[in-house]
Formats: sequence, structure tokens, C-alpha cells
Amino acid sequence: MKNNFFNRSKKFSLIVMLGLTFTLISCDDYFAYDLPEANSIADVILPTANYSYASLPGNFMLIKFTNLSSEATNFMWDFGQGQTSTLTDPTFEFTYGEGTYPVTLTASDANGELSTVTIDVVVEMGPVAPTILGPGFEVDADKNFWKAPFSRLGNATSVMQTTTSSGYFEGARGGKFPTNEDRLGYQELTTFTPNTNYVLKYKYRIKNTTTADGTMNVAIIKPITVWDLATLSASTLSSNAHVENATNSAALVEGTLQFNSGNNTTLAILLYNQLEEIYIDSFTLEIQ
Amino acid sequence: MKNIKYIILIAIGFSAVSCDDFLNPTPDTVIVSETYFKSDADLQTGIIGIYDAIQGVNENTVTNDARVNRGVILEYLLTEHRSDNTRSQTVEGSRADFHRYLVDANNIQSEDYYASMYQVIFRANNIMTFMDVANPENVAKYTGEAKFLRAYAYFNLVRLFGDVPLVTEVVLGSDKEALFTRIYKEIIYAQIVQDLQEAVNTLDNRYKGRASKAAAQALLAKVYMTKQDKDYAAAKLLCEDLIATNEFQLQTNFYDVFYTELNSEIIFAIQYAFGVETESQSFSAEFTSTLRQGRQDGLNMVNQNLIDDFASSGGTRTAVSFVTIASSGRSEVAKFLPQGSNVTTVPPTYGSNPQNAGNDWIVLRYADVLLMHVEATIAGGTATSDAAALASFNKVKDRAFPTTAPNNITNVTKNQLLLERRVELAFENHRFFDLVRFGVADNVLSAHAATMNYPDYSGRALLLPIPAREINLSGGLLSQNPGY
Repeated sequence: MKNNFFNRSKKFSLIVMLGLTFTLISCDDYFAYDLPEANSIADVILPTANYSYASLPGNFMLIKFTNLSSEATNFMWDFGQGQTSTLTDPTFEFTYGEGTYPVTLTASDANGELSTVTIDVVVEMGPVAPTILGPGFEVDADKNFWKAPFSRLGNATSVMQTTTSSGYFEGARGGKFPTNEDRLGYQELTTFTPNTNYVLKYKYRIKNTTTADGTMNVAIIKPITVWDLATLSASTLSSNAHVENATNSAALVEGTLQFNSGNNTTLAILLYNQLEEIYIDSFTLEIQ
Repeated sequence: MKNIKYIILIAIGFSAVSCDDFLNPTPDTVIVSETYFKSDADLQTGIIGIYDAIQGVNENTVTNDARVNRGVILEYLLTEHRSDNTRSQTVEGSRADFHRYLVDANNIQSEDYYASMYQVIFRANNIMTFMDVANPENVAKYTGEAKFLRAYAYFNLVRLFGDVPLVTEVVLGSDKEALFTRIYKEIIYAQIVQDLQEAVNTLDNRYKGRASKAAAQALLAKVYMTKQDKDYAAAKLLCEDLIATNEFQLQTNFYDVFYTELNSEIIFAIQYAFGVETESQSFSAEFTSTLRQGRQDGLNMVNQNLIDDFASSGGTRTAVSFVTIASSGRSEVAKFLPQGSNVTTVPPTYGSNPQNAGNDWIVLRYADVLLMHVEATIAGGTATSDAAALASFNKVKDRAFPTTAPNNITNVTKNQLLLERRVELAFENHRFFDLVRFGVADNVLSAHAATMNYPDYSGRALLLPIPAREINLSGGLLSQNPGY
């Protein structure tokens, strides 16, 4: 019995030894002469790398890349200066400013087939729209952004008011001009791009308190320092005079003022009312 | 074996004699195209047959999408649904993949449209091989009409799928090179321009339901502004020419544009007939949702962001273009309501046979031309104050805002024009192409996709996939568009 066991365990150890030998010998050599994936079809549909790019609205240096590669699953972007990405559609900010940057995309498939394309990405500043301060009169102090360096009636500078009367504003507050024509709004904006089309939009409402038809004036003017109608008229690039009617006295309505900046980089928004209490709110300024 | 020479000779003789006529006799009881066209009248029916391919087969006549081509009936899925205008009410089925930018190469509706347009191209190419039986004075006219329709189909294909195979003659199914080699867009556009120029020179303005000189001019103007090397000057001349003929006028009432067929504003429309299964369309029914008349839960449902644009810029067009059903709060297209509909009642009614609707599909109308005139004048810039362009713009604006007319707009920016086109031509399958042509598609649609939470949008979605079936048939010749 014991002998029997010994014999068996001798066989067993032989098997173990053999097994060990097999595992110690690298299998690579054994299969070196077998064709991998014999009868498989060669990969003839190879990747092609390609992409397009465009700057995102608001920041001309921020470039959004759209991957147009075909037959590829892995991507390697090289933006230069050691900056890379493996995203399919990366967004990259060229913080060095305007210029031409060669950007290389390497597209590869799961077989490791590669395709590379390098495109000169041109980063240039488009036209910019200045930022209006206190555009929505959300706190009472916002009215001070609209304070003019001159006054309308020759008396002390008369700054706009703000309102919380329901139906006359959006958000938390809105701008207000009382009936007695002694206030105005004026804000200079300094970063216009010359010869560019802009559109100024806002909401306004004329309150029906008098029998006369009130008017809300909104103008884009070259900066002025005194209030007189001749200077005002000579300085005006574009203006709206909204006359009271059933629609604009019933609810806030949108006003739109388009203008071309001409050769100016600094222009001002001028607001004033006539014959009625008038409310104005929600200014936006955009490039057309 | 002395006679082997003769045996070989006889064998060669047999193989050289064509047996085609013997083995493929022309059947007596069916019509085949090889023998059908025997007279000028036969050719005319063949030309009408090309329109039949655009008209497509109503989904309620043959429900199996795989068996027939739907033609223009499904076009709104490939265009409006892929713009920011509309969406599907549900997210079930392949029709609901378009608005979420999920279309894949197996999408049956996208494949159907591709096949439909090639069916138009095949029929146009085919008819041109039988011109020898036409009355000699009609040859130029028939050829011009076939080429107009071929150009129409290629213009749709190249805008939706990019580079596509260019087939300008009848080829055998075995000629894979011709059928499956993708040709650069520039070459396709050159062919489209050539075909449309021939149509302009040979057609007259007798028809609105068929090709005409005016239709060819309007389509060519759009082609000039769409192709890569844009030719705004040529487009402007074509629009000016069309305006100067005075043959077309805007309808005073916007409603009549859609509910008086082939009216003074229509330049080219695909006609349908109410209640006739084989000549009717199903999209009118599919555009209903609250009390749905179609097979789906509601397609071409109006997006909030378009409703907002209507509120600010729609004027009298708003109520004609869509209706918001109070009980569901859903906004549904109202430009193509089936005959007998009344959406002002609660609940709305849709007539006696909404699934076999007869509303024509308007391909080109005068308001589109007027706005293209403005676009050609802006010529890639940002705005125009040109008096002639403003006159065109104000005509469209004054009809929409009659109470404040004349509206005397003094400057039109590109963005204003795009907005005007959006509300004037909403649900007429223009928006997607307009966004691409104005060069703002990626910006507008990525913002739209972010708002609507469609994470699958990317710039690659601006082209649809080449149908997988075509790629499989091509034996490796057809390549896929990026991202599919």
C-alpha cells in the first residue's frame, strides 16, 4: 500500500515537473512558426485623419476641433509646445494669442494602423462686443453705471431711477424715467471694433399716465459732454423713438437698434423719455 | 481527331451568336422599359414617372418601409428634425433618432431617402436614352426636364450625404465602379449647375407641378449660394430675373399659400391628391400628436425655441404655421393640415381621411426667392442696405406684419435674414440647409443640443451616414462618412 502510494506520487511528481517545464519555457518559441489569425482578411480599410476647427463664441483663442477622421478609434492631438489630448473632439485654448499654429492629429485603428494630418490652425481675433454695465438694473446702484457727465435740464446731474413695480421690469428691478423729463441714461462703451455691425436690444414699456403720447428715445451716439439737441443730432449714429401705443403701454416689448461702429472704438448709449413715465430693462449688445 | 478543328469552330460559332433574344423573350403581358417607349406620348408618361419617384408611396398604402420608396414624404426627418425646429414626440423607433443626432448607417428612413433620390436619378437617366422616339421639337424640353429632376435629386443628396456616386447614364448593376465610387462634392455641384443651366435654357413656365424655367432658376440660385466656391453675383442675377418677370406674387393671406394649391406664390410643388391611396401623402397625418391621425406618436413637433422666435418675429405667420393644442400643451405643425381639418375646435378634427392627405409638398415658392435675393445681396457679408434687397425683404415682412406695414426696414443683417427665413419657411425643410449655407450650423446646433440635452451631437452629425446596405453591396468601394 505504502509502496503503491510512493510509486504513484513518483509519477505525480514527474507530471508536476513536466508541467513546470512547460510553463517555464516561453510559449513564444513554440508558436513562432504558426500564422497568427490564419485565414483572417488583411486590414485594407485604413484610417484617414482629418479635422475641422472653429473658435467658440466669446473667446477667439478657444478653438473647438471637430474630428473628421474615418475608420479610426484612437486619436492623438498635438497642439505644439508639448500640449496634447486624446479626446475625440478636444477644445484647446491658444493662450499665446493671435497666430498660426500647426496642429497634428494622429488617428489609429485597433490594429495600430496610423494616419496623420497636420493643419495650420489660424487663430485671429474677430470683432468684439463691449460689455454693458448694469444692463438689467438688478440692484438700485446699477443706475449709477448710466450716470451722464451732463444733465438734461441744466440743473444738477439727474440720474435714472429703478423700479420694482410689477409688470414694468424683468429680473429683480428695471430702469425708470419719471414723467417730468429731468433724467437721462448715458453709458460710454470703449471697446468697439471699427466698421462692425452691432445690434442693441432691450425691453421697454410706456406707462399711460397722461393724455399725451409719450416717447422713449434710445440712441447710439459719439460721446458728448453737454446736452444740446444740435450736438446730439450731429453725434447720433442710430436711434429709436418709440411712441406710445396700445402694445407698448400694455406690456414690456422688445426694442432693437442696429448700427455700424464706423471708425469709432468708443460710443455711448443714450436714453431719455418725453411726456410719459417710461421703463426700460434687459440690455444686450451683440455683433451682427 | 482530324475533325477537331471543325468541332472547335462550331463551338466558337455557338458562343459568338448571342442567345439573349432567344432566352429572354419580351413578355407579352407585362411592360418593360426597353419596349415601353415607342412614341412621344409614352415619353411624357415616363417623365411623369420621375415625379412619381419624388412623390413616394404613402405609408398607409404600403406600410413596409423596406419594399417601397417614400420619396419626399420622409424628408422632414432628415432636415427639420436635424435642425433646431422640430423633434419626435417619442424616443422610440428609428424616426426618433434624427432629432437626437443618433442616426446610424442602418437607419431605414435615411436609407429610404437615399434610395428615393437615386430612383429619381435612374428614371431621369433612363428617359434620356429614349429621346429618339420623341417628336424632334420636344427633345430639348424633355431632356431639360429630366436634367432638372436629376439636379434636384443630386442637390439633396450632396447636401445630406456629402460626396456621393455620380451616375449620369443608365449603367448595369454589375458596373460597380460607376455605381459605388464616391465623387467629390465639387464635381457633383459642377454637374448640378450644368444640368440646371440646360433646364433654364430649355424650359418655360407652363407648369408649377412640373419643372419650369423659374424652378430651375430658383434652384440654381440656391445651388450657387450653397456650393463651396459660392457665386453670389450669379445667384443675384437669377433672383432679379425671376422677380422682374412678375409671374409670381406673394399671396396676401399667408394661409392661402398652403391651402390654395399651385397659387401665385408657388414655383414648384410635388402634387398629391386627397383620398387617393396611390397619389396621397402621409406626412400631414404624422404631424398630429394630441389626437394622432398618423402611425407614429407625433413627428415634426415644434421646439420651444422656434415658438419663441415666432412670438418675436412671426406676426400673422404664427397662427398659420403651428397650433398649440390646449389639452396636451403640444405644438403641432399646421401648414399641412389634412382636408376638412378644424384645429380651432376642442377637440380638433382632421377631416374624413387624414391618412390619405392631398396637401402638396412645396419645394420652391416666391417668398424663398425674395429672401434668397437678400442673401445674394449680402453676399457673405454681415448686412445690406441695398434698396432692391430691402424691397424684397419688406415684401415678406409686410405680409407678416400688415398692421404696421409698410415696415420700412432700412438694414438687414445676416442674422435677421436667417431668423426671417426660419419663421417664414418653418416646416418646409429649409432650416437645416439654411444653417449650413449660412455657416452657422455647428454653433447653432451645438447650443441647441446642449439645451435639449442631446449629448450625441457633434459636427460630424451635419452629414448623414452612407447607408450600410450600399456599402455592403459595393464590395469595399464605398467609404463611410466620418463618425459612423
